[in-house]
Amino acid sequence: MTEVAPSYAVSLRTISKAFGATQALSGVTFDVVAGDCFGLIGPNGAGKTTAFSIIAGYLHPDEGMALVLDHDARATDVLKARLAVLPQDAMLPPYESVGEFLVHLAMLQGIPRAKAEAEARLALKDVDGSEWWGRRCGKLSHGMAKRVGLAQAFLGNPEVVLLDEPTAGLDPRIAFEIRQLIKKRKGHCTLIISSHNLHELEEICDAAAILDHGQVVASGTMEELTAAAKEFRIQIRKGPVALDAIQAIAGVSRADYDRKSRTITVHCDQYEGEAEDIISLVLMHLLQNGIKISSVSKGKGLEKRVMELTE
Amino acid sequence: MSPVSEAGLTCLREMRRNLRSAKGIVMGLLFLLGGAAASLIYAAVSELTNPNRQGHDVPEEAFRDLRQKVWAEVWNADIGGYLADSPSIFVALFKGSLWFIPFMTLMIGFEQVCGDLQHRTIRYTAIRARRESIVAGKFLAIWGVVAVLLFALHAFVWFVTLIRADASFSQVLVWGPRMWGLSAIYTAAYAGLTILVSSLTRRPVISLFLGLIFFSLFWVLDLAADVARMAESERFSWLQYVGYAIPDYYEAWLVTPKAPQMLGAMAILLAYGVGATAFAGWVIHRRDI
Repeated sequence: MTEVAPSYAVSLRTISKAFGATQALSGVTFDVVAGDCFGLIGPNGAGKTTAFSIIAGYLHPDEGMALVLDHDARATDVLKARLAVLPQDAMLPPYESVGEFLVHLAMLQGIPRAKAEAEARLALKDVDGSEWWGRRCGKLSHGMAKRVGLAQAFLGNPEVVLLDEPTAGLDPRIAFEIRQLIKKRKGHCTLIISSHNLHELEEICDAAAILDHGQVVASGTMEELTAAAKEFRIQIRKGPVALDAIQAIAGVSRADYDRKSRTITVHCDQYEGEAEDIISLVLMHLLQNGIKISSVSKGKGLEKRVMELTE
Repeated sequence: MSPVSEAGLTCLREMRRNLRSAKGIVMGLLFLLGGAAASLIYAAVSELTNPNRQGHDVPEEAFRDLRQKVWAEVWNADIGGYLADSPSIFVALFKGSLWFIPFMTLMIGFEQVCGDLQHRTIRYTAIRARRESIVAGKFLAIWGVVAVLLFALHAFVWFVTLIRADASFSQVLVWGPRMWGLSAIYTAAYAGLTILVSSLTRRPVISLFLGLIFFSLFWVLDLAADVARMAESERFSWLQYVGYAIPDYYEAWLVTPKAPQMLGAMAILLAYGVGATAFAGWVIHRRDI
């Protein structure tokens, strides 16, 4: 049986971009599989927003090629209504009402005048902002403006949506609500999200690229990035722990115990079965020996992985 | 969606925004006040200097000769003869409006492009429409807004002229819209130049400053070209040719009785506006936004 190659919604090929003497991106290459939720991760100044802006066609790369849905990222005429963006630092037009703004954008992306208002109202309703229709954009709070930004990004159901720091600067409750909105869209389009909130990305994304100093230091599925199949952690309430017995379990290559955090870290071999089989065996062993378990987590956790990879 | 539709949508939005903004309302009031002031001055001068208003019976032909002489002095004998049939307030309004159109256009449009670049508001539209269409739409909007404001100014004067019976209805109908139309065509050149200036920077204050320098330079060069022409100096004859590059030069061509020259001036001024807008579109297409 032949394996079907995945189709990519976005492909960056050896992209470089400098602003004066500052090299923002250097040879960045990654692919985003169509339909995936993809995270762009990295510390401040890593080049996430620059990469976003190149994918959106806002910036010209100095070198390399950015393809969106197999077209040059700057081919606005073909990507119109298929690619949408929530830009991080673009101000909504303060003089315009939310309704007028959304209707104008809907019409610009080719939605007929008769349907544009209905589509705009629907997009605003999806972000729980129906009552802001007549309010001027300049009068919106930061959280409201972010939601209106999301509404315009999802207007007309585009195929690829770029969300640059969608929850930055928001209070936890609104950030949570925005995460729920994004989750609702997952599976309906390709989502590319940049965020500092690594727990958020680990929760939402299927795959990610980690950027540091303008270069991709790691990319792959979330499972690959967090080494989820190779390592798991068990936090216990109290010991003692017989590490020798755990290491004797099939598929376990090594086990360590950190007394301070009362955490057992189990490293797995290349194993034909699933990591869950090994977890079950180890847990069974611990329970049989009267050890009380506080929590179990697969992989290193994205945060730890990012800390290892970035300076 | 075609680039024309994109430009049309952008134009309508920007016109709505400009006419509803505080700046647009203030400009509208200023234009109406300008119309009122022009009408009042004209009425006062006419009451004081028109002998017929003081009970004399000077034939219309004498006034026509006077208008012919005045306009021949301002432009040339051909134009003087041609404009002698027009109500003098209309010609004075046309001549006067050419003075302030560049600066009014700049005041209305200096932040059209750079305002969107400064706060990156353009990012919402640039992903949905070609950047050149956005620039073209903004050019049409500035041109449209100034043309609408000029219409308000001219219409006020037409109304007063009719009420005071200073001209017949047919004279107002023939000369009023013509003078307004010629002012509107002239505006196209400066609307394009304003868009170009606005696309060269991200900061509205720099755009305004650049525009003021640019347009003042035009004014000085046009004056210098006029002086060189009048002086008929061999040494400064090159200055006459500089005049061709400045929209102000074509003012006389707009009111000439020679149809080809008038059409030529209209085409040149429109080409000026379109050319400057196309260049601005190219600048915005190439720059990072």
